[in-house]
Amino acid sequence: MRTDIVMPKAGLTMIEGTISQWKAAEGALVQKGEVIMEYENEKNTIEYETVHGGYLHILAAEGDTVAVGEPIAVVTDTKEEYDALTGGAPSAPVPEAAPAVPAAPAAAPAGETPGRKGGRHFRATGLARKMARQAGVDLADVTATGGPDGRRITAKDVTAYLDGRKTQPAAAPVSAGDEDEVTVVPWTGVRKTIAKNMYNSLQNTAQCTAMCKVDVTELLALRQKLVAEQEYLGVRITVNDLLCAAVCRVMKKYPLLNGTFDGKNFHSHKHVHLSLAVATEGGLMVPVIKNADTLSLTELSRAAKDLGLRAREKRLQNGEQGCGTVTVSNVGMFPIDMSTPILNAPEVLIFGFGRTVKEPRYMPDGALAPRDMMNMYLTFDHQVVDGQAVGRVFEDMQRLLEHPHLITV
Amino acid sequence: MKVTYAKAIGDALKEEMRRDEKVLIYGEDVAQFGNIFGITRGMLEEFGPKRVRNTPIAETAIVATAAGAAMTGLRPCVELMYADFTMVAFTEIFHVVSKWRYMHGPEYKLPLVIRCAEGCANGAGAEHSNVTESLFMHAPGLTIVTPSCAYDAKGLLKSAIRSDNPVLFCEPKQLYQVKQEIDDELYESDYTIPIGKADVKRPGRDVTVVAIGLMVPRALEAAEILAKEGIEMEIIDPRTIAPLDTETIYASLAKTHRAAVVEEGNKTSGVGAELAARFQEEQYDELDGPVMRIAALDVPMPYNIPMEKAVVPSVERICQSIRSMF
Amino acid sequence: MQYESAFLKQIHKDLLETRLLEEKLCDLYAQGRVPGHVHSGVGQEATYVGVLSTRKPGDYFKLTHRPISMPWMLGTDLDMFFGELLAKKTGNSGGRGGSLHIGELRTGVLGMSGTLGCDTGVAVGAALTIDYEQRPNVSYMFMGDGTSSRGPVYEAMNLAAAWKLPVLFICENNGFAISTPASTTIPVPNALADRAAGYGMPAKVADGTDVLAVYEAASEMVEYVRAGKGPAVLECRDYRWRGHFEGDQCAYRDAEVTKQWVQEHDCVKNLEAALLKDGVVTEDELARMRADFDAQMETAIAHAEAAPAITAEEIFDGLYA
Repeated sequence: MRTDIVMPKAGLTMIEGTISQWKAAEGALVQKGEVIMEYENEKNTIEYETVHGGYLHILAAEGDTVAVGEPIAVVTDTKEEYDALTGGAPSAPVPEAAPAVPAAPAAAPAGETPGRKGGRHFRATGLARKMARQAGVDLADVTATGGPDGRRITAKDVTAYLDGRKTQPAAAPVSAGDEDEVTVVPWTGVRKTIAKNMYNSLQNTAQCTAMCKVDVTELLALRQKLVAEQEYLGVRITVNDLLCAAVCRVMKKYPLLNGTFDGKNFHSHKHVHLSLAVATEGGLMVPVIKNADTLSLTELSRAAKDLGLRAREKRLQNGEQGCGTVTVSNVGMFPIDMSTPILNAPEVLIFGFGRTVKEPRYMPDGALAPRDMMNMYLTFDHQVVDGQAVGRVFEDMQRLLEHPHLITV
Repeated sequence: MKVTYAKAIGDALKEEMRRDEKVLIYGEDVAQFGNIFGITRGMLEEFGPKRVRNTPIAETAIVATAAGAAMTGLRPCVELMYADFTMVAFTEIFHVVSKWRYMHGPEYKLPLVIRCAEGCANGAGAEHSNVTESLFMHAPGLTIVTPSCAYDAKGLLKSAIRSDNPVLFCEPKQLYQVKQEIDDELYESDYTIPIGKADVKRPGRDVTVVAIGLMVPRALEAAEILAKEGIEMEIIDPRTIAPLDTETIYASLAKTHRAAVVEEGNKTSGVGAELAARFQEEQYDELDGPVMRIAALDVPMPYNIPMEKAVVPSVERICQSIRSMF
Repeated sequence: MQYESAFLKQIHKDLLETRLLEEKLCDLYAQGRVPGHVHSGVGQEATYVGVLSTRKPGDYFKLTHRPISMPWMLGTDLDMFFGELLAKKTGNSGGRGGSLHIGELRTGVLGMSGTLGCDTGVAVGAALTIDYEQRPNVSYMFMGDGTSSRGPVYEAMNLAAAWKLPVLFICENNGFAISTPASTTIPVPNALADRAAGYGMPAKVADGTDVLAVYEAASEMVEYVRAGKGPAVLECRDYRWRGHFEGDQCAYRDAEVTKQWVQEHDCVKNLEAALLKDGVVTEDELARMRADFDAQMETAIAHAEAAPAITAEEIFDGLYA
């Protein structure tokens, strides 16, 4: 008997997945429950345990994006069936495109055809090519969405590009002889999801950002004391841990900000589920510390470290992203004073923390003192969050960060 | 009136024989027996044994004599019973009938029609279920006509008989008993349908579907289903497979930018293969996706009826294939 | 049989001109002026000239690839003949068909198929027209011994016999199917005549190198056919002087046998000897006939060579009526 193995559905919104890696080889005898494949959906990289054992015949190659429910492999009960299926010569399909999420832009392919400018080949329909030619559009600029794998440029894509271009100023003409090289990096899997989420967030919410300066001299001093007690605490407390703890304390106080907005209702949560923006090689990941308000500082620190590490190693489990009530984005390690972070919709608040800079500050006694100053900023969905509420949050945050012993209470 | 496809064929033959005494019919079992599908029943009585003749089982002789009779002044309309048997007379059709005029000059005209019943018909098996248009598309000089309904069948057969070119006239067996409502006055009028002109059986904006013979009613049924899903199929019945009315088909392609071909013949080297090749060659700039071929599976027709149904494109298969284009 | 002088002069003229045309063909081919193959019928003219001398207006002729000169005897002019042979617009198909397809329907020539035997039914179909129109005509169906083994020949003969159609099937048995001797592939001595009984057709065998003998046998069979009694068979035995096509060295047969046939069974030489003996013609007349016809041929060849060929734009012309 032969059984199809299909792209599994991991999460309600998953419509397709990209195969990151086959863990079992073509033709291998796999056991039920064995991890045979790893795939990415819009949120995670997920290991797939086969529910059928047998001889494996791979249909979808690494890098392929396959719709949920579509076959990615076949297992047969017997070797004979496998041979009959494959004609006796095991051969895994060769990935036809670059890895879905390359670490860096891939170099231009070797062996360029002289006649073809820059050696580029675009998968585009005849009609799309004609439209592009007539409109003077370089296909490299057009985002492909057509074809069975969403990577073929069709007429619709060219139209979409032309519609988008109307609103932008014309690009500066490229001087003749300027031999540019463009490599097309397929924007799939996690990257595609990030792009879609960012775009949707800006399209669907009324984002507004507020900012204030906070004196974190005391906070840094407290952190140094806690670091000194690292052995006792069992964990090395970071500035970020203290900032997260402060956010948890404040959010717990304002249930009407702690939650998600679906366009009709605000879902107010009793507990704070803290989303952490984590930069990884594969792109921005946002794992969630569940019930963060119930955790001690050390527990929170451990949870943050664990999630951050696993996010960077692409080992997040299904369900560890999404479902947060507020997000913290800390860019203090970079020379960034502030930004306007984009809401992690459907959440309505995202806290941002910039770098800390020594600045002169007039102290209450009127004397100038060198202090550690940091920008704290907050993007909020003005559909549901008023300026006054933001003001209160800033008051509380400033109090906690400038009097950090309150955080640990 | 309600007219079956079989009656329309018979009526066209009778009307042309009444109109022109140079028209005669012959083939296996067409006289007393009235053809194995009953199409020529009563014609022996009306036209006599000189004009309605039984032949031996001798397809090469049927076709070659038709060529000789046609070039010397008669208008023979001969019958090969099953389309499968065109292969018996392949040389005669391919070399003799199709090329004669070109090889010998314009003084030679071959006004003849070769009729045959084509396609599957409930367990007729591997050698009585074939569709052979694509084989003869390879024979320049030959006209190939496959009507898909009674009205077209009558008008096209009359045109075929009046044509000065040899015509291979293919009749899908499963259509013989299909009835069509046709206005009495129109049906009885001496109407003809021009050879070489395709017919848009259903207009639509999303995909050009070239359907042939039995596949036309099936494609129309599929179009009803897909219309509810928001896909509007434009069904084009070429009616004349060769020479093909590419003008009508290309005008449709320029509108829909997508194309599929539905045929009862085998997929490999079928009519769809030829059309898909031409589309990409001549209309590449109009295509916004690959051309879909919906055709019979490449197996000898199984005798088992459920398997026979699985081989030939069904309404469901047409729907699935068209959906996959969007 | 006694013949009138005018008849003898005519049959000799036809025989001689056919010979001269067939020889000219070989010359032109050797000079590289003819495309494709040429199948020379030099030495085999008597069968065709003898049989065709029985023709009447309204008859039809299905000829063969050897000799190809018969349309001249049947009424096609030399300009058209050489125009087609040299692939020029002045040919009957404008040079699209070629050496096998020379002829005009108005002269009764039906044309032929390069796939030998497949055109047997064409001649039977023409006989169907004759029968349908109740005309006192005959459809002459020529073939060679090699073709006599093809299936379509028998389907057509069977149908012609079943429908009693006016066809004379003529088999010119020259002993070779390309390189293969008839004796190794045909199980009866007379390729078609011995098989005629299977279709209830009368058959006769004649010496194909004696034009008058052929004429006499053909007259007898044609009379039967023209009387509406059904088809008949005439087989004429001769020998293929040259190779199957020009350039064929005939390494597969004994050159001595060929030499003997050429020396002893030259239908033109033998007829001329008899006519000279009987005083029907003189040596001078013969020499003048040859010179005149040669001049006619050279003029026609010059016309053909000067004529335009079809162009790429005209390549599809004539495909459909």
